[in-house]
Amino acid sequence: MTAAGAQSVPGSYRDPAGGVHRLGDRILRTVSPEHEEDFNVALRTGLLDRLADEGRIVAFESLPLPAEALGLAGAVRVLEHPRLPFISHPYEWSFEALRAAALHHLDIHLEVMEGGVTLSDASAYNVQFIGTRPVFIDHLSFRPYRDGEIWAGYRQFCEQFLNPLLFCAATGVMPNAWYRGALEGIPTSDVRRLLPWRAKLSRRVLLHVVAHSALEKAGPASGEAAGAAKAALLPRDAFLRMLRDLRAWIAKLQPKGRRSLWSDYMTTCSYTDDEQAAKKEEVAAFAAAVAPGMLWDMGCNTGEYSLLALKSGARRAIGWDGDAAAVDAAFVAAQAAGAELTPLVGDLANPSPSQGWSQAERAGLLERSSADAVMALAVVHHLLFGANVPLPQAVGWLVGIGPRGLIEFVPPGDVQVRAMIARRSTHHPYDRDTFVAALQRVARIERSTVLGPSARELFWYDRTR
Amino acid sequence: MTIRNRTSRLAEHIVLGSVFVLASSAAPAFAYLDPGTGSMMLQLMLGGVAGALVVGKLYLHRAREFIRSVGRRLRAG
Repeated sequence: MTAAGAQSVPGSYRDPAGGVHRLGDRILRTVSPEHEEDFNVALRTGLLDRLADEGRIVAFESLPLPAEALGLAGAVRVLEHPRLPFISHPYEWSFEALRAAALHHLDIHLEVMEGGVTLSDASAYNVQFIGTRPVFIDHLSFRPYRDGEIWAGYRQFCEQFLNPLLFCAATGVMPNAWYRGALEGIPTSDVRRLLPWRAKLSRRVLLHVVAHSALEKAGPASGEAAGAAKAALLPRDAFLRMLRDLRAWIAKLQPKGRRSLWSDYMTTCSYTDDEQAAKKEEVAAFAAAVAPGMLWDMGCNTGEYSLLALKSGARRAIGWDGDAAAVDAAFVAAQAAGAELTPLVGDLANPSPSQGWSQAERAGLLERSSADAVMALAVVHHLLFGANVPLPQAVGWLVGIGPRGLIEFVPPGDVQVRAMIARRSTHHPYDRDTFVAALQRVARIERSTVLGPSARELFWYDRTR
Repeated sequence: MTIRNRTSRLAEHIVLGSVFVLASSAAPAFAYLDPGTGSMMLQLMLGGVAGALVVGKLYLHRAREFIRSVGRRLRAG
């Protein structure tokens, strides 16, 4: 359905109901002839318009046909959507973000069921975040509910929402690395094997994990199962009970024994109140002067400086940190502040790659978008000592993300850096001169500010000049 | 607790009980499993008595096969 002009978005090939296309900066969605009637019925209920007005699904507008001029000949309907500020993947979400997305999915499903509409799938990739606000993005998932039908997306919901949350709640282990490797989510049978026996004493775990997985293992052949699904029904009440019960359960889950190195960093860091005040002043001045539409805070910790930058002139921010508990704290803080910050889990030394079908389905970090400005506060020494990245490479990579930025250099004499050095017999050169030379090779240093006696220093760069 | 809730809890208990009996008797005999089969069966059983009966029927022949195979093994041994 794509001709010259509009380009199919790599992640949207799966659904035969239609596809998403990019035409310059425009985002277009085509509806296939086979799905036209289902989509029209869902649209006529007015539910999609209401959800879009409330900002719970991404806004849409039907474009006049024929769509040949857009390079989309043959489409029976074309929708145009506003471009989202950033596309994140579920394996980059913290526990709280994944929970928010799961609840959003269930709430929308429960609401449209009241109007005789259901969702054809339950993919976590169909939820995106604007700030910390979840937004459902797949309008072709909506189709008329047929009385007695089963929940087609139940298994997918378990694998992509419930199982990662439950695994974390029962074990305290974050599922992000596993999820990143298993793009379709975490299989129920695997979670069943790994959950401690005490977790399996719960009625809901027995039902959605143990029984679910046992029935899959010992289930009849798919033909027989499909025949049974035609012969028997899932009454609407039972369907709604499942959705409501999952909602109540997920709303109460908590990561087991949550304890983080960084989530209490703000109270245990090695510099004084005056230095912290000076650092805040410099961050605010940077955000006010540059006024970035999109700021990436690399190593965002609990989001304190991202939130400050947003108050001072940045319009939106994405925060990255490898510590999922700190990212959760940032997510909750951003929610409370109503700030346009999306904190995400990511190891800066191993950012999300392009992967999935054709190695393009889920775009890697830098293939997705770039920033107008970058903040990397007290991060560079972690790349050097934690991941053995030489200073010029660490600085080059950070500067490559955004044309302007603020990078903090923590001197080798700092108590935390000294502790890192003490644990190693050898490491790449780490000193101010090497750092400055590395930064000057890729950008112009606009100004540098020493924060105080610790000699921590903030460098404001601009690589556009 | 309303009657409806009690009924739904009862349905869940029936599902859980049946699953343990079925899972313990079922051999991993299928070369190919529809990955959605378990989710489909669970929902049919949660749907009420009619669904549970349909699912039960599907498993019945497997249970018979299992008993026959045990009988054969006993006779052979």
